[in-house]
Amino acid sequence: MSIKKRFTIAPDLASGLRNSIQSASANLGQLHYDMMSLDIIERDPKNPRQLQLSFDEMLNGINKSDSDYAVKLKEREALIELSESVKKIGIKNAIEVYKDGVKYRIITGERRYWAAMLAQQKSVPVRISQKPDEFHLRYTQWVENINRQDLSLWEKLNNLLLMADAYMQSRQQTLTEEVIQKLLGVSSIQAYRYAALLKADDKLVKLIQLGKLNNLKLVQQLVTMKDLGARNQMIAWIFSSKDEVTSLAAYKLVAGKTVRSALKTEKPIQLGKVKNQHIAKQLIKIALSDERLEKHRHIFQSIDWSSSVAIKRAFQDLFKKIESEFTRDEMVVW
Amino acid sequence: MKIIAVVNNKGGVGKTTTSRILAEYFSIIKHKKVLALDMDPQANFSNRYLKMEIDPYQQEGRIPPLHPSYDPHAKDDEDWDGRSSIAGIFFGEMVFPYTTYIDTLEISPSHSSKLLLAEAVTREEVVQKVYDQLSKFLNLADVRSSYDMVIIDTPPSKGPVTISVVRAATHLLIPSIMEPQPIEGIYGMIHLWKSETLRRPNHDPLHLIGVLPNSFDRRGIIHKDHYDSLKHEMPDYVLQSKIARRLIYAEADADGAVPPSIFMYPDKNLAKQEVLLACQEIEERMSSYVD
Repeated sequence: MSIKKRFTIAPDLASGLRNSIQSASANLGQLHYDMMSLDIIERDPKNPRQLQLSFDEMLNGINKSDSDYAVKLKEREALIELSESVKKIGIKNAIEVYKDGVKYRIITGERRYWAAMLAQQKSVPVRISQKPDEFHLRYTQWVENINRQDLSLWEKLNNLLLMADAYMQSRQQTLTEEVIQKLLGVSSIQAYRYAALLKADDKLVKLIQLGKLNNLKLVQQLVTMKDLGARNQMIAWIFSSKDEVTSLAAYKLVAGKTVRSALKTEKPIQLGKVKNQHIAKQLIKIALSDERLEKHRHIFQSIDWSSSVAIKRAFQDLFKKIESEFTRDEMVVW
Repeated sequence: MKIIAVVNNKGGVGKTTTSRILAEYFSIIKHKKVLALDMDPQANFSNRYLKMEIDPYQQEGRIPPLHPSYDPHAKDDEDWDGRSSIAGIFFGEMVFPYTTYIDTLEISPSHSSKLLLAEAVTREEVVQKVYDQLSKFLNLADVRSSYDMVIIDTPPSKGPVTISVVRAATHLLIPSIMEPQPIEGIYGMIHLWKSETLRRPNHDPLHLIGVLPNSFDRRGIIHKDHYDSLKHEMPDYVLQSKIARRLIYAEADADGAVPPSIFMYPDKNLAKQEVLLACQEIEERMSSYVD
């Protein structure tokens, strides 16, 4: 039996060709690197990582009478340290820029840019990108900045507000909890808190700006607090405090109120019996109207309301969901 | 000005033949002002249009003939040895293209030893300079205003000279025989195209015209099988036209061949017909890229 010989390109070569072509067409211009003179690079005035330091202060030192002396000194020292390494080995990671008018504006790498200035470099390596759309720019800066420990809540809030504005502009939609969770890769409770942060009123924003409120969870508690009287009292108390406030427990002590735990006891409680299954149905419906349980609603859609066992199981599920979704602080205080 | 680089790091796949065909098509048939550049130390492309010389005191290859405008007694030419090659760009020399028997075709020939020297540089900062040299030359206002097309023949390598050509080019054409080794050469060139594409700014892309099957033999199945298989892997980048294996291409390549160009053969000549089709397809593919 004879088999007719066929010729074909070796499989590894074939996949090499295919992949190279795909990569080239998908990533056109993605690795456009160059050396760029520092004087045609400019900072992004809206970068959320705002240095307190001015350019002049960076070069010539800070006035001791400055109210932000300590913060600025710390920033300057960090930049000087970075610039020392730049003097020795130069800048290794390119600064990402895009053309804006006659100059190139920084997307990421502002600290490297300052350090290069301090180290008196003439030019730095840059990666030249297309001008990103506003939302994408703010998103990139968020991702770049969020890993920095020293980013204040004020800086985060500004970044988030810019992102929300840009999201609204480009997609005609508000930045919801779900979108925040997906984009920022945070837990649902973190996303819930960031969404609350976006709803903070002027008074709260002022407190955040002053650095008296730097705790996301606390801000969320204040934003979602139903008792407006208590809320205003707390805000007034935080305004009057000298330092950053990290917990409301302190206020409750100061105000002479005992801190009430939402769950008074850890012992199991029997919730009683009802004869009419419609009441059970109503209870579940009311519970599921809370937005924190929204994502679990589908689980309760196919309950067999004629079976008492099924209803019992549904309630067990409901309690579990409430326990997992509501932190103790968020439990309703009567 | 369009700049077509004819590349493949395997030798003997038809780079020089393809360069010739393109240079003659655009100048003779399309009446474009064409500049031919020979970056291959073997100098075969140059030799088709100029009588390249052998310098007995240089071990390597060929040097260009004396330039017709050279006057040893003229004051202006005092610092010039009377020969000009495209390799001069790597050594800070002026480049004076030579006229050819075709009115609208000029050539800046190879210079074997100089090109070999440029190809052999290894020091990083020198290599970087070599990379950018050709594109600097082709960006000169004088050059841009003098020509519509530049056709560049390259050495069979992926060295600094080839990279300088890829950096300067607007279009890339890869001639290849449909056999295993030359196809590996295609892979090398696709890779070079990819790196260059990623590196370039968006407004100045390097267009890949595609692979031109050369020396195609319809008698066996090996060429057809490899062609089909290549077409399957990169459907957008394999040309429909094929240049067949014909004695006539070797004959047209011989010194003193009459007529000197394939485009001067009678219209019913099969080789002329297939070459015309290939050139038209290349031209169509080039115009399909919007700059």
